[in-house]
Amino acid sequence: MKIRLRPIHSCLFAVLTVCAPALAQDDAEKPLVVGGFENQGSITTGYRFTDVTGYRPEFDQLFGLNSGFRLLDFSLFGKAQDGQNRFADGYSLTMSGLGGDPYTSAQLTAHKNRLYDLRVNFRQSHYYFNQNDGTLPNGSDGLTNNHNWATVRKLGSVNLLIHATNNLRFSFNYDRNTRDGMNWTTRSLDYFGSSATWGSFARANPYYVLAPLSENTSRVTGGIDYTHGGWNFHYRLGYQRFEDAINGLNASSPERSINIDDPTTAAELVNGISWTDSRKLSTPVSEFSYTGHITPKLEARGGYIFYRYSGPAALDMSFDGIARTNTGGTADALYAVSVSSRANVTEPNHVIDQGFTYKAREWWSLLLDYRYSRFVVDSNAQFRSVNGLVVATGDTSNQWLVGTHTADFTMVFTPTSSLLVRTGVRYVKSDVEFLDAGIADPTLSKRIKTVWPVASVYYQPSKMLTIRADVDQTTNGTSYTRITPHTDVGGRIVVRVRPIDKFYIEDTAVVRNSTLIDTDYHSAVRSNAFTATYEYNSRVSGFAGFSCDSLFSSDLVSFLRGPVPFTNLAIRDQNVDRVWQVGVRLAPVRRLEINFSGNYVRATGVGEIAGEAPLYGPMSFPYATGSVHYDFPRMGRLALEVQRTYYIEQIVPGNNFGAKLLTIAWTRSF
Amino acid sequence: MDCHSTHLVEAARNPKRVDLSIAQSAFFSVPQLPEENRWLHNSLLKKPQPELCFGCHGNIQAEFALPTHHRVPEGAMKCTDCHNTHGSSNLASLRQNGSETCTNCHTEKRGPFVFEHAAVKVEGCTACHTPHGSVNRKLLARREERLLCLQCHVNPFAANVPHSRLSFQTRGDCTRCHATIHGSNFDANFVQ
Repeated sequence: MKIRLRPIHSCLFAVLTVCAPALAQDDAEKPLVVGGFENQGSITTGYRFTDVTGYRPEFDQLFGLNSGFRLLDFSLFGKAQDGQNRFADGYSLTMSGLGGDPYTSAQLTAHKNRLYDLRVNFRQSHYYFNQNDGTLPNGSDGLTNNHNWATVRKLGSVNLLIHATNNLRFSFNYDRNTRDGMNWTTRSLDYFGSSATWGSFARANPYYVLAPLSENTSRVTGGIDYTHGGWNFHYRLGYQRFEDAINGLNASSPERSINIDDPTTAAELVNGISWTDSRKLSTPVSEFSYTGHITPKLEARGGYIFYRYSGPAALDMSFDGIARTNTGGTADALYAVSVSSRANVTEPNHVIDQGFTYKAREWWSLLLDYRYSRFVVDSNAQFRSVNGLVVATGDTSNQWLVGTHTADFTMVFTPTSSLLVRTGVRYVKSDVEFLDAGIADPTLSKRIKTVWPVASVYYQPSKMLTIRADVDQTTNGTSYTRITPHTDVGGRIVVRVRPIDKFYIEDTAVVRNSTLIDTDYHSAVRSNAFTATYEYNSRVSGFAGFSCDSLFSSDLVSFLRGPVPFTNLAIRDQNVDRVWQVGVRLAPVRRLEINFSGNYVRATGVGEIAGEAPLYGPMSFPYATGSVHYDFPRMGRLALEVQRTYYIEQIVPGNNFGAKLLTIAWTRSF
Repeated sequence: MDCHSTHLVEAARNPKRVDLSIAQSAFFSVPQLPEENRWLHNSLLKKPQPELCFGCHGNIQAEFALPTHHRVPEGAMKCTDCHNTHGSSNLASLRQNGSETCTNCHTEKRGPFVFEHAAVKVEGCTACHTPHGSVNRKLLARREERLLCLQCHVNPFAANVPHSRLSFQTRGDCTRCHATIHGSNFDANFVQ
C-alpha cells in the first residue's frame, strides 16, 4: 500500500499556519525580552503519516507511532536581565511528544542563584500489548497467557531545593506514579476450600476477563543537606502511599475458557464473573547518609534507611456457571460461588551501611564496606467462600525474615596516571527464614554464603589505545533456586583504538559461565559488540556497529504425571541475538543535512523441551530512518523523515507486520 | 573515564550534534535540546544520555536495540534513572538495593504480600527479567514463558510441577492461570 500524499497539503498548511507568527520574525538570533527575561527557544511541529500492513497490534506494541499532527519538541529558556527579576535568574520549559505519541515528557525549571532550584517533571508512557496467539502452531489456542493491555503510566515530580546558606540546603519533593487503563487478563475460578474435582475444573479453565486498572503511588519527602568541615550529611523524611483497585468482569456471557482444544470444556461455560480486588500500602520514609574525612587519609561514609510498609487488602468475587462434577469431566452441574477474603501485611525494612577509604599511598587506596539489611514480612489473611450451601472459612499467617550481611574489601592501585587496577573480594551471608503459622519451612528457609572475588583494570598506554577489563567469580555455598548458580565465572574486556582523532573503533567482549551441579543446570553467555565511529569533518560522519549475544542454558525437568517419559526431560534454551547498526550524516552544502540511521536485529535459536516442537524461532526486526532537513534563512528548518520497519517471526507469522512512516516537521527557533 | 566537561568546549565544537549511533532516537524523534542548554541541563555531561553511556557500553546499547526494551533510546528514560554512575554499594551500581530500583516505578509489583513468590522476594526481578532489552515478551529471560518457570519448578529447590506432561497446563504460558505471579494476598498458588 502506498502512502497517500493528498493529506500532505493540509498538513503543510497546518504547519505553516502554526508557524506563521514565527516566520514573521526577522532575526532568530536575538532573544525576545519579556517580563525582564531574555527568552530563547525552539518549536518543532509536524505531521506523521503511518501505514501499517500485517498485524497492527504488534506495531502498536513495539512503536505506537500513529498518524496525526504532533508537537514533537518545544523548548523555552529564559535568563533574567541583570537585576530585573526578584524571583528567578532563569527558567526553562521543555516538552516533547505531545499530541498522541506514546512517550510524552515535560519539564519546568526555575532557579535563583544561591536561593533555590525548582524542577517539575512529567512523563508518561503508553503501553499496548496484544499477543496474537490465535495463530500459534500445532493447532493449540490459548498458549500465551492472554494478558493484554492498553495502559498508561504517568510519572510526575516536583523538587524544590532551597539554599539557606552555603552549607545548608533544604529540599521538598513530591512524586506521583499512576497506572491506568484497560487490562484483559485470565482467571482460573479457584476458591478457598474447593474440592479436588473443582481443582481439575479450575486448572482446565482459565477464563478471559476484563479488568480495568487504577493504581497510584504518592510520596512526599522533606530533606536537609548540611556540609561542615569536609563532612556532608543528608537526611530525608517522608511518607509514601500506594493504592490499587481492579474490578474484573467476564468478557462475554456465556463464556468458554481459553482452553478450547479440550472438548470437555465446551460445556463448562461461565455465566458471570464479578471480581473486586483492592490493596493499600503506606510507609514512612527515613533515609540518612553521610561522608567525611576523619583524617586527611581516612574517609568515612555510611547511611541508614528505614521503611515500614503496611496495609490491608480485600478480595470480593462471585461467579456462576456450569462445572464438572467428576474429575473426568463427564458430568456437569450448575454452580454459584462467592468469595470474600481480607488480608493485612506489614514489612519493616532496615538497611545500614558503613564504609571507609584509606589512602595508604598516593597510588594505593584501601576500601572497606559493610552493609546489613533486614526485612520482616508479617502477614495474615482470612478467607471465606460459599458454594451453594457449602461454607468454608479459614485463615493463614506467615512470616518472612531475611537478613543479609555484605562485606567488601577492595584495593585500588594507580601506579601511573594511565593505569588503574582494582582488586577485591565481596562476602555475602544471607539468612532466609519462612515461617508458616510459626513453623519454619525447610524448603524456603536457607542460609546462603557467597564469596565473590573481583579484579578490574583500566589501562591507557597512549591516546590511541584504551583497555578496560574485569573478571569475577561467585561461589555460592547454597543455591536458593535451581537457576541460582553454584559457581558463576565471567569477565569483560573493552578495547578502544583511536588511530587518528577522527576515527575510533571499540570492541567489547563478555564471557560468563554458570553451573549448578546438583541439578545439572548450565548456562553460558558469549557477547561481543563492535563499533566504529568516523567523523571526517563537520559535514561527513558515520557510525557502524555489530553485536552478537548468545545465551545457552540447559537443565532437566520432571512432571509428576502425564505421558511417559516424564522425568529428567532436557530443557534447552538457546538465543543468538545479532544487531547491526549504522548511521551516516552528510551535509553537502551549508544549510542542507542528510541523515540515515538504522538497526537490523536478527534473533535465532530455540527453546524446547525434549520431545516437543519449539514454539518460537528465528525473528528479524529491521528499522531505519532517513531524513533530510534544510535550514531556510530566517524561517526555520524543514525536515522530512522516512521510516521503514518490519517485524518477521518465522514460526508465529501472525504477529508479523511492515510499516512505513513519513513525518514532515518544521522547526523554528526564536 | 571522562564523562564531564567543565567548560562549554564540546558545545562550541559541535553545536548541532546528530546522534547517529542510536537508531531508535531517530525513529522516535527524541528531543534535541540546543546544545548549550542541553549541556547545562545534564550535569555538565559531554554528551547526552544514553549516547555518553553507550560510548563505553556497546553491548548494552545492542541490548536496547532488541524489540522489547525499556524506553531509554527513545528518550523516555535515562540510564541514571536506575544507575548511580558515580558508584554505589549495590550490584551494577544501581541507585537502590536489589529490586527496589525496579519497584520505584513498578510500584504495583512490590509487596509485601501474604503469599510471596520466593524467587522474587529473595533473588529479585532479574531472576526472570532482563532489564535492558530482550527478544522476548515482557523482558523475560526465556523465549517461552513456561521454560522460565520449569527451570526452577522441579525438585530439588522448588515445588514440583503438579501438572501432566503435554497437557493444556504445561503446553502454554503458566501465567494464564498463575496470573498474580509477582505475589498474592489471597492464593498461595498465585491464581487470584
